[in-house]
Amino acid sequence: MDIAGLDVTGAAQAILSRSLSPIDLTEHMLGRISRIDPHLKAFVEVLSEQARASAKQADAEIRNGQYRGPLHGIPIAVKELYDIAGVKTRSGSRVRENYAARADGAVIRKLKDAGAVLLGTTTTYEFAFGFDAPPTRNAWNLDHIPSGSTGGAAAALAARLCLAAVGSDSGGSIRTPAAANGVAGIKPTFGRVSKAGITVVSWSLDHPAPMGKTVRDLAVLLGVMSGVDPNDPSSRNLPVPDYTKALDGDVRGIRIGVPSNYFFDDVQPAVAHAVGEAVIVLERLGAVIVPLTVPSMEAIIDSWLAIALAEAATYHQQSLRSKGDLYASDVRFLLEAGELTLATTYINAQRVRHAWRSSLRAAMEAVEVMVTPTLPNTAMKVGQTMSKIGAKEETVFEVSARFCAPFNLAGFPAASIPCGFAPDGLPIGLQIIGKPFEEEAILRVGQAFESRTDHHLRVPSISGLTA
Amino acid sequence: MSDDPMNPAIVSELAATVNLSIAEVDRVGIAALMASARAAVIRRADTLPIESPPALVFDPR
Repeated sequence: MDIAGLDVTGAAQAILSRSLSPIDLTEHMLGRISRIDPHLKAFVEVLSEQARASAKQADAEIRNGQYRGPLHGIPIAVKELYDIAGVKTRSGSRVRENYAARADGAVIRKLKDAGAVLLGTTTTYEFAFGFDAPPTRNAWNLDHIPSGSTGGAAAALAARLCLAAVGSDSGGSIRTPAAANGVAGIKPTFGRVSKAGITVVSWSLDHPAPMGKTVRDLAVLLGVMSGVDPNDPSSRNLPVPDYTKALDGDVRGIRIGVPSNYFFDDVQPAVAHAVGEAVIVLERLGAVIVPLTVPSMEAIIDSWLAIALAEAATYHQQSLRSKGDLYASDVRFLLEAGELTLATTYINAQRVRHAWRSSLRAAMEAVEVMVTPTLPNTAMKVGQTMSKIGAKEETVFEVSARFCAPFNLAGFPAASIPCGFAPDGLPIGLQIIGKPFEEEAILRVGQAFESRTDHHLRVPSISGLTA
Repeated sequence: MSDDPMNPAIVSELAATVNLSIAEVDRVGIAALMASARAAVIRRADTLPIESPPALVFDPR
């Protein structure tokens, strides 16, 4: 059995049929981490003993007929931003060098209740306030960054060091590393998943989110993670559907919006080509392609940034004064800028947000989902500070936020799934955006696309390392 | 609306009022970032009806 090649769904079937035990599965993943992660540097801490104990418990429960569901005995990686009882989670910062939560956060509690095996913590940009996850490298080319602050989890997943992962997305940090590493990730609607027990970047922009090898795995994980939580007042008390029921591969008659403005401006040719081909695949599957114009994008990124800076600066206000020297210089810079953001700028940004959300909802009235590139480019090189696409020069921050952050500002759900590769071998992501609390439509379209393509089945060469 | 950055010395003074000491090397960059973001947001906000509300109680529906 190609254990490393299994997705969550395949591994769950193997576990249930007793052809694979959670113990063997976990040992296999720990072995792969010890061989491959020294090159990839995706894990901050490998929780070997805790994982072995969880796997042993899962094995015993399943043998006793106490099967909990499709995550029972499945090894999962966790971005080092989530509280895990008794485990150091520094949020990638010296400011929290010795922080270990006393209790699990809401998502971790749900994963443990579902019987998942937590393999370890993966890298994040300091306090998730950037579009990289140093020192992790891109799984497809070690000279490139993994992108996004959940880059550690994405690289680990692409290199088959775990079967799935959980991270967070405040401006694209699930979707951009998913795109850059050739895996799938979905940022659900704001309020769908509790944020309790996850370090804050920005209260109103943060979205806890899963990553998987396949869209079906996203559906399984999202089902477990979702639901109202009294410890997160922004979580919504709405029924959580069985997302896997949407995965029937049938998109006939589904209307898919393709923006004719903004989202295809200043895009690398390989990215534009791959996304264009993806639209053709969906049309051949019976979807109705609807050209649409996205309402004014003016100052959308500026408004997202103003809100992110002000909220992050508020969260860090006390420690910025007492431990300012411990922050990385670029993060400190952003927090200081946030501290000095005027209240009127923040309020105006929230007014722009309200207007953007209303006009986006109107623009999407005639469609079920909209598709765009996840990123304008493929993963940048380690150390590269500026992106140049045609005549447009941008910082890493700007190019990474351009297509993803607008949907954090709106709170709309959005996923990234693999849709191709550039000539240099780096993966390309297709972003699928849905309406609030209508994640099923995204998953349906994503899974239908996946069922007719093989981009998600390709594996980076680092995955085959034996030493 | 001007994108011109404010005087970096003012950034420093403003920061001091909230007991924050900003490194000299960052003052120019922060002044520029604040000015550009503020100007862009105001320009867009100016196009909205005056009664257009902020999304302070956030519900994506």
